[in-house]
Amino acid sequence: MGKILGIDLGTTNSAMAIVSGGEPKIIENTEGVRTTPSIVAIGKSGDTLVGLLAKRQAVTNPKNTIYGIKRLIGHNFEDPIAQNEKGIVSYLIEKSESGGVKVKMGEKFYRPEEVSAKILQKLKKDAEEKLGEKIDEAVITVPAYFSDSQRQATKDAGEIAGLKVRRIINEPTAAALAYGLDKKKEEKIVVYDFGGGTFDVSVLDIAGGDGDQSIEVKATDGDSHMGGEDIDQQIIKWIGGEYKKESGIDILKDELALQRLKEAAEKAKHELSSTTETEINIPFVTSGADGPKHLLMKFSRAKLESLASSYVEKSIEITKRTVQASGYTLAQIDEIILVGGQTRMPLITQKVKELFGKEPNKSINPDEVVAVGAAIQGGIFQGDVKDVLLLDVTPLSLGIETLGGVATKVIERNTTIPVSKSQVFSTAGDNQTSVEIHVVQGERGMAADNKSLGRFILEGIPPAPRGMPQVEVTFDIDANGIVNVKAKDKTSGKEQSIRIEARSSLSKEEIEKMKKDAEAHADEDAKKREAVETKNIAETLAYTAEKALKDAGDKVPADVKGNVEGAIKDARDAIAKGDMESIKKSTEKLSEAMQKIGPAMGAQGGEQSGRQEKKEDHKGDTPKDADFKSE
Amino acid sequence: MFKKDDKREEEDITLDEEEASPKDAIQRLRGRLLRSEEEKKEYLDGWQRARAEMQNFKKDLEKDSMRARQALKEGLFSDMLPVADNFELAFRNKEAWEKVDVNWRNGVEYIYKELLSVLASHGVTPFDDTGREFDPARHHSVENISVEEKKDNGKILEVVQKGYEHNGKILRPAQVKVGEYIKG
Repeated sequence: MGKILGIDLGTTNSAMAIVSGGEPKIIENTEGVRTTPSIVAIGKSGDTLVGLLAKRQAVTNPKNTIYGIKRLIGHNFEDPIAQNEKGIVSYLIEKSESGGVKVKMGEKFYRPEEVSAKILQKLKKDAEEKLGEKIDEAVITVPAYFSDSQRQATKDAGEIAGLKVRRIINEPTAAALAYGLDKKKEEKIVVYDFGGGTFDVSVLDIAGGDGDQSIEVKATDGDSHMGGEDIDQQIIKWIGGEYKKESGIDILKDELALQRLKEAAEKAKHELSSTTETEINIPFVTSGADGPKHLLMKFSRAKLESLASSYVEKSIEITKRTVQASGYTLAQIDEIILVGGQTRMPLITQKVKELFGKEPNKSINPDEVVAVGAAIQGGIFQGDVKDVLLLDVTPLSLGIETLGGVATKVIERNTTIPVSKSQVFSTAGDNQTSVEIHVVQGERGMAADNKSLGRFILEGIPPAPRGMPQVEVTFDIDANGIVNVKAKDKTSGKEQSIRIEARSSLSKEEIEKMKKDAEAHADEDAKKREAVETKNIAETLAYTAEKALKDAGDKVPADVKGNVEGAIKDARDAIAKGDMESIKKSTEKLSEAMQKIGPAMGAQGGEQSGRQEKKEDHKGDTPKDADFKSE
Repeated sequence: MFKKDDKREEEDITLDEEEASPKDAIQRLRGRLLRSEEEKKEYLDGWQRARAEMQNFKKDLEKDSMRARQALKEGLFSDMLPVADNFELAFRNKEAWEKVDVNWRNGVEYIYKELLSVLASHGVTPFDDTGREFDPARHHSVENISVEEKKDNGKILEVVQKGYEHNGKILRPAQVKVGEYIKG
């Protein structure tokens, strides 16, 4: 089955997404942009333009450029909304033969669904180009307040565009799907959607659960002519006014200056979402009798908030009203979702939070969340999430205990299973012929703080200096969550393994508790771990130094040898005392003393120095693969 | 902790029950073989699909990261364009600009040239297109200007802000004024 396109057919902008490999993904249009202006035009040369290209010629071709068609779709000509639009828009609106609306573009009249179809057609074509496959089906979103005739007309638009519309879903429902809230039982959700040109708020009720749930729209309200663009206008007006006070020049009358001002205002508004003050800098904005004039102005978040406050207050009033109409109280609302680019404004997040006393959901790009939700609905129809292919993840990390009681992770938590991962470890002592593999589960830094899943011993490792044997430890988790841990000595080929049927071990609550414990103890664990690692490094270095001296024999001058031996003793003493600072210091000193072995030997016997120096390169190396503790 | 497959193993078919004839057993075995083969097909298909998806995902990822690098570059270039515009605006009022000390003037003009040459070395070049037909793929119209002659209808009469392209792709459309011929 082909992919199903999720489409957010917006009043000002539209977006599309698809579920691929189980994950929703926004699809860029051919211009490389993630949203497409919902504008259609017949250009002066008679060709049909859609999206960005239509927008670019809108100023000089206003009569043949249709925007905001969503406000007209499914309406009768006599409807107050249609009458109101008639007085606002630059194109011609007339009554159609069936009593509906028709708009003029070029020499012809079009029904609103035919105009919407052109937008959908472009989205379909762009998606096909991007994905390299044909798209025949779609899920399209509409505002919750859309009537049956508006929904039908939107569906017709899809069919005209050559798309089989699998379902028309409500925009707020799509937002809830994007956040996965449909999976919860018994939730009341408010979706606050402050877009570029419209404001909508809806109260949803999720009932049921366990795949049998229904999402019901309890109440919906809004303002079809209030959005982020109004705030932009306020900023432009304010800057223009300030500049006039300062210079006496009205730059708002200058087309080019106004255009630059618009861009600067939008940029400043975006910047003030993350900073508290920005600068509006428009050099050579105009010129007066005494030469060129520049515009340089500080613009604070507080000022922006005062300019936007009336709109934000209005939106909050509408939200209150809507919740009241739903029959719930503000306190009964479980989740709030922010939709629309304007909700990036910190003031809005703050006001919404104040109203409900809860942090709203805003982690998904608010311009894209509706399209993402539509794609998820499409994904459900696509049915590519079959039961047998449902992939699980390991809820907690799995690893083994290594030198000093450290828990070394082999498989990190949230890794999708089935999975298999290997790491090579070594021995911690000379001539160590067996290693103990202690399998632990959890996020804590030290093995003892995690859950022990089992242990086994690998014997028969040929005697060798510490750090030489290579023991490959492989963790394998199958689709059922059964863990197989295998240790294999690479030299002798000896191996040993353990099978852990971990299903019985931990409940969901225990997993959550372990995760929380790990978070709570993160600092403490990191310190403990660091302490062990510092000790391990010191021990390894002392061992390496000892070995180097032994290997070199009498080629090392007595004074150098004495120094190194002294440093080894200091390091071992420090380790025994367990004071971190002195361990670090003595390790450093030992490392310095060791560096003299090579050159000293070089001075004594030239041709041997190469080998020795190579050994020296390992000074202070942290063993990459933590050693097993010796038994 | 892990989800376990709840499918129960089918019981083994044996012939030790007295009433079970070999025929029944064969039939049951045949049924099971058929189901197994169906399952095998389904699993193999799923496995192949998963592998193919992985391959495709890798390819997509590569393309995406290339695209992301490109977008990053283009974003940086686009952010630099207003700087170039401001130089143009500074030079636009010829009379005022000529009054500036010639050494300073030359110096500033050289800085502008340097900026353009840096952009050009990365494939970013300006275009003007005055006199050409308006094309929304390259231009953004800001105003109509009435013209006397029909041939000037739809022609670009003035470029308010230069457009830029990056290796043939429009980085920013030129802002233009377009001729409009009104009949009669």
